[in-house]
Amino acid sequence: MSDPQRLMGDGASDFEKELLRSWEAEQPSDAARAGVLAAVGIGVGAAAATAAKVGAAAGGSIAPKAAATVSAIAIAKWAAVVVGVAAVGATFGYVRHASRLVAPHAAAPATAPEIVATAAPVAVPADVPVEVPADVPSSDAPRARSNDARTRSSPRAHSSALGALGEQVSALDSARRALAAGDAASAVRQLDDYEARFPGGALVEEAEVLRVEALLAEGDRASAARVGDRFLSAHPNSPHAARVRALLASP
Amino acid sequence: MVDTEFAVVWRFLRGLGVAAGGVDDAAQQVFLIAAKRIDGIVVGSERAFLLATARGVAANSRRAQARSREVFDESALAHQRDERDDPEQVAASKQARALLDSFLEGLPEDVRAVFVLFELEGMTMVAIAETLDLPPGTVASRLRRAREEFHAAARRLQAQRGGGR
Repeated sequence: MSDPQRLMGDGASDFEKELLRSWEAEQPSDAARAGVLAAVGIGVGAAAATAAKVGAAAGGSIAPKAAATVSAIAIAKWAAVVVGVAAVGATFGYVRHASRLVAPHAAAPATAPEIVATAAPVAVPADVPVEVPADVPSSDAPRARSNDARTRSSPRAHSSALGALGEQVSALDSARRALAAGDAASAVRQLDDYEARFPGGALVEEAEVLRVEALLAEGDRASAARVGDRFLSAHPNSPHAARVRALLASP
Repeated sequence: MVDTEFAVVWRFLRGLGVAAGGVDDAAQQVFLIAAKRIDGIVVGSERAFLLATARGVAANSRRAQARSREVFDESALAHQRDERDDPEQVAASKQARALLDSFLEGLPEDVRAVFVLFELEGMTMVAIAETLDLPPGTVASRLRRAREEFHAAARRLQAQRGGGR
């Protein structure tokens, strides 16, 4: 498939080009990027802490026997968290969280320590105890695991995973359209259908938020409150939690 | 993923109509959702996941904006005000951007997504088809439709502006 010329290149009047050019001013600030790194980074740290606990409880070989508790400035703590993630990840697969989310290229865990520089502004809460396994000289093990994951994801798996996601997006879009058109009952039915078709689906939280909205639109405050409360207790740290609270508080 | 995809996701959200005052939060939401689902994201399809998530987040965000229009618009203006020095240029650019927005607002969401990714973000048709999980023919027909609407809107807007330029 050969692409047509962009309108900016050809086929637009001067006025049209002026409109298109106005888009160039749209650039995110460094602060916004740092904010995301901070938010995502802290999430990864929490995951690592959980994994470390699980590892210790299970008495797994990776559980640090000689662990050093790091107490330094926040940057050092962040470094430790990332290293900790890489180490624990060998067993629990969390390494992919760290490398794929914050590394410049979705790539090798070996780059994890470099993340420190990128994510330096991140302030990891000072009271988070960080344990660094003393016997983690290299990241060979995590890398091997990561490669395995790549081998497993054949192009076929890729397209079907995308296909499933596309279907999920369409299903929710359709429910949203129904709600926007004032047909809340249909929106609720479509959300039931979504959750039946994709139990534990990637957009299940979004579906629940939409359900709260649809129930409110139907005037069923009691059910909306029930669904909303359930959502908030299951996902207290969800990015949608504030929205659910606002919806439930709205008159 | 943040480094390579953040700007694309951020601008896509803007292109889908998330106000300047809300786009930072919306972008953060997208990446937090991705962080939680990272194990379900196939290596190589990160952008597709992020942009699909962005569409959902943008839809939520637009509905929230509709309820608190004034707040968002004011912070959007504050956001744009310090971009350039020359007041006339600022005014002209802001007006052009507002006109572009008014055109985008009139597009159905699926057509809008294709226009933003192809004309504004410069993605290839193949990449868009993969990202939006659409057959290439559908991407092409949505782009055609978007362009027709764009030309029509530009004629209309230019006439309203007094036919100058």
